[in-house]
Amino acid sequence: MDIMVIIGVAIITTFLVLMVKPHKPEIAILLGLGGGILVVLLFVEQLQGIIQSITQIAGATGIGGDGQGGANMFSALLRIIGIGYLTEFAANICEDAGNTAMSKKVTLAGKVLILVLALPIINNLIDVIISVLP
Amino acid sequence: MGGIDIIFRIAAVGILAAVVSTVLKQSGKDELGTIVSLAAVVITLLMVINLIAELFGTVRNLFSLY
Repeated sequence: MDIMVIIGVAIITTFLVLMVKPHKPEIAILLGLGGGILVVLLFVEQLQGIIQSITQIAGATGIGGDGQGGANMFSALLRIIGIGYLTEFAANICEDAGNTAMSKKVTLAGKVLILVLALPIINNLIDVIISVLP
Repeated sequence: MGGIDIIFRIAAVGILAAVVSTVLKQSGKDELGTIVSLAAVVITLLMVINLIAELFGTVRNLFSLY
């Protein structure tokens, strides 16, 4: 039961953060960061299996396979998910530490980078629409 | 589970640093207390930085970021 381990790590980390926070807030933030990373590392292997099977499905439909521009479309999607996840993680840490301005800036940077990755897909769509139009 | 011990170690460093800096402050050595706090933060950061590197490597592999 992986979920029991994750629940245990989360509750222990929460209590330890609660204990350390009044005396040393900066170490409490690092403690929360470490606990969060630990929880993520505990379930990330399952995510790997999910992504593999989704990649197989995408390859079977031809989106992720050998189509022109199709391969980079699916990998761009994966990359967008990764950037979104990492951005969310960093923004949460900044917000926990009380630095809301930095958190907002990290979120904005993530949005901009995701838009940069998504632009080729949008261009593809527009090309398809233009070629369909008489 | 080889992971949870790092959480306990970080918490131990924090509590120990709090106690030591309080004792030093009580005995009138404020500057030493500050240095102890700084050392505790550096030690904790060195513990956490490995975890951060592991997480970033995992996510980079998973979502094929580079």
